[in-house]
Amino acid sequence: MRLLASLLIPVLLILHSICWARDSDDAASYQPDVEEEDSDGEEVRGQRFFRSESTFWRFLGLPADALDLFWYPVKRGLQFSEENQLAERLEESFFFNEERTAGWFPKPSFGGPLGDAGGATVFFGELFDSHHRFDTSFLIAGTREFDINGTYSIPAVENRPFYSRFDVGFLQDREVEVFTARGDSGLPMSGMETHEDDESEYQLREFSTGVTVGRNFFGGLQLAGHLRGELSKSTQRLQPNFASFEGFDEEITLLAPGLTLIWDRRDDLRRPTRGWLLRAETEVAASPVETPLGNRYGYSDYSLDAQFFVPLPGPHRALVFRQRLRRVEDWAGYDPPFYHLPVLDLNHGLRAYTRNRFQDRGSIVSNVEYRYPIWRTWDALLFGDGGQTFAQYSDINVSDFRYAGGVGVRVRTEKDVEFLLQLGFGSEGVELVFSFDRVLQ
Amino acid sequence: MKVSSALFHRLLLLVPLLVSSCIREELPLVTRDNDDFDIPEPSVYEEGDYIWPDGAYMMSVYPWKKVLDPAWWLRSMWLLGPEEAENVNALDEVPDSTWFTNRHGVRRMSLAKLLRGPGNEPPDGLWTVIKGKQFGLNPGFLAKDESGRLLFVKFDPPDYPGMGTNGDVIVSKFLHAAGYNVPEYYRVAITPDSLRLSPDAQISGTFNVKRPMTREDLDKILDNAPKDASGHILADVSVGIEGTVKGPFEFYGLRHDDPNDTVLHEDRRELRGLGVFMAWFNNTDQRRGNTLDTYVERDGRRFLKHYIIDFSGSFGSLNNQPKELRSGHEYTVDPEMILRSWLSVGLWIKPWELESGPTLASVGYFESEAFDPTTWRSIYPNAAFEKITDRDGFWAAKIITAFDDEDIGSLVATGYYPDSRVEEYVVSHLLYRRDIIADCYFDHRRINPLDVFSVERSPGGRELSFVDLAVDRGYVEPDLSRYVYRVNDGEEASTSEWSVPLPEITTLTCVAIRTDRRDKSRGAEMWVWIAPSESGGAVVRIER
Repeated sequence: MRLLASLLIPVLLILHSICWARDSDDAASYQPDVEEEDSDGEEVRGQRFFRSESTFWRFLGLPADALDLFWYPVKRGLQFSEENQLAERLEESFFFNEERTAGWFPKPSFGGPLGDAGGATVFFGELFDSHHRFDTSFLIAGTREFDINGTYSIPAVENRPFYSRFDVGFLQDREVEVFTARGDSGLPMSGMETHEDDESEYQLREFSTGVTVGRNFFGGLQLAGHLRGELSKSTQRLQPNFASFEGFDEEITLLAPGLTLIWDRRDDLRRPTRGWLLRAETEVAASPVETPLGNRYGYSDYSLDAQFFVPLPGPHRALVFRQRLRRVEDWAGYDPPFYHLPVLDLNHGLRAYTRNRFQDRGSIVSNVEYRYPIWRTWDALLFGDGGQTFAQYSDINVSDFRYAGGVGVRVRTEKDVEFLLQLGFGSEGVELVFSFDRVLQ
Repeated sequence: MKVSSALFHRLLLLVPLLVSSCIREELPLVTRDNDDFDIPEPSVYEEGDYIWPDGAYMMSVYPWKKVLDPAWWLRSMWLLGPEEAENVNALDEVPDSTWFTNRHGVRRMSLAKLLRGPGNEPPDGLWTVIKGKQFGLNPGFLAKDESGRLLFVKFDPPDYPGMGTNGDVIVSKFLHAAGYNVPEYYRVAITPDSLRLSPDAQISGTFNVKRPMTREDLDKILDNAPKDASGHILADVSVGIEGTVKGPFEFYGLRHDDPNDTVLHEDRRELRGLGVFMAWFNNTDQRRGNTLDTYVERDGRRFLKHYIIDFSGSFGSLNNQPKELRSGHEYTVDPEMILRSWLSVGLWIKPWELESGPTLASVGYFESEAFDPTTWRSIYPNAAFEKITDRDGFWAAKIITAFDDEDIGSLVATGYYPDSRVEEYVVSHLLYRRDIIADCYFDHRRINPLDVFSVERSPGGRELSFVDLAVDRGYVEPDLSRYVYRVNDGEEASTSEWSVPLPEITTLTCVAIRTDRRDKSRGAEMWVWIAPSESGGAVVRIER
């Protein structure tokens, strides 16, 4: 105790003297050389009347001043930045023209469809003095792993309810996860029966292009038709236990017409709190030519997606309910390539399960999400997911559902840049999703 | 290491020395601070012009400095008393100084003087533009009028004519009357013909790169400015202030090249109290960059004078756009609010989230439903505003409530509003906010609102007379109050009058007074010291 006191007192005294020097600084050493009296001789000018005093509590706060040492280089950097307007220069570097209708955005992604990846989105808006725009993006996940997309779109405008878009994309993914095990029949199985250790990987190369033409009707109704062409090939990467999957190790050509019906009654596209969004899609895909091995592939794909936004007391607070059902069937006796089967994972409704975790002929998933504001346009999320993949509708059983819950933050700016951070917890662990991208309307 | 008993006892002797330094000296009863000693010319504080380092420091480092300060923790837990301002006299008032001059709060100014503000000589004639600013929140230029006065000219956003100018014109007059040093502001209608470009004029163009200013640059600035019905350009002009500009002052610490600056800025009452004024006007842009020190000469002495400038962020203006709902309630980046919002899982509906007023072109978004002077926030933390105590708030509220309804109506009328309804809207909100401030800082449970103490003759001898500001200014019904007093160690007594009978004052006498209201709990106590004097006694010290 004595030792402690003996050490503490000198330290406090030293700090006290430092504190005094800090408080009074140059002023303390300044001795006014003028001593004068005012006209009635009462006031004598000399020492300052008021002076901050050093107090016990003030010098106990001195360790906080050590933070200024760390701050100093940051301060200098910020001054340099402001003097040379580095932030403005940086912002300017994202745009190609003065009107800021063309430019680019970085596109980092963790846990996204291509895994952990980085890239950029480049956009050219207001082309040909109209609202035509061209957007292209690329995402690189590793050596020879990338995804490139391009979209030319002509949006609907006042007095012209039609819209159209042309898409082209190329994907090369060397590490596509698939979870499969050999069933009792000896055939490989996927879906809910698989275990998280049943992971294999394959490579996928896919070139696709398509054209969509749609029309806006009254009351938020939209109807669009599309025609899509695709050339794809999956090859083996590690283990051969899924070699008998349909379409494996074949170069497949598909031509797919489809229809999409959308009924959008949301009150706000960026931050909806009320209304609903219904989306029904159907597509029929078939091989126009045989594969080199003499096979043809085909399937019909239909999906329903219903989102309901229920406002809660207070601005920007909402409960969001989402139901999704997707089903892929054989078409004219042909099978679908296995990699086009519906998936449930962190990017497809079960936000605590790794990429491509469950894959089968059908998927059903329910989500409930509570959104509330935390800062400016930032919303926090609390969510719960439950769903399963299935081979037949009769396989749907709540007891087979997998569940996930989690938290997140979502920001959608007025420039349609979306930032999303989600942390999902489930029976197989924790998954993190982070994405930052420009979102097309 | 073994410490001898003798050494230990010697060290213990140092403890009283240490503790003695913690005890404040008796405050002098001065009405004029002597902070105008002749000093060598200080350098220009160029660092103070940067906004990013200031904002980033106050939003990121300053909160952590508080966390590392044991005294802050103890004060937060009410285990340590408040840290009071250090430049107040024995009567708990701010003496006149190079920072502040007591005016309307002490002696009512005439309406003419209130309306005149810091000056009333609007610039006219031909102006010579000497420097331009093309970008930034408010594009504008620096010019000289025919009499050689410097003019800082800026413009409101084209869609919001008058939004910032009205803040400058009106708030500068209020603050001048309150006692602060402020520049003169005018709204002037000009034409391009009344502007002449100096051959040496420069402009900060793209990326702050300086280059010679051309007529096209000037025309571009003027093109984006709001215009009146006759096509005249509406300019917000502030007239250059006296002395040599030495850059802004900080709201914390000292200016190290000013030997007169001996009181930490965060512990200056007029700077702490400024936060209440800014809350009243909703001027969220009160930061380091909107202050100015100038080196002036008076009676052969040269010293620094301290100004508050630029009030275009007042009322509903956020300079280049109307205020957001959260303005005045959250800092630009406010980790505390974000964390509270997040942890509340949306159950905490912030009162200011619910829009409660219109957005008007000449006012912006100015509401008062969610106004609370104790939680009001600027765009980022201000060390002086954050250290405000009840005594500082009471001091500011005294001055603010000195502006009666007529004063406020007349001062707001010096602004430029499209019609009387908009003007009335601003007046009504200022009155409402003033009354909220008074209700807060005249609350007898928070601080005893008695003031203007003096020893007077009475039929029975002497009495200590005072004014109950809460009653006097109409915030409490007169017949609800009782004043419980005790002279020295005497018996407790009470009265409903604004006076306390005194014995003959032959020695230093202490009168303890408590204000109780019938409809509320008992109030806080205060102490008034009276010393013998030729007139029978004089109040020499007040403690709240």
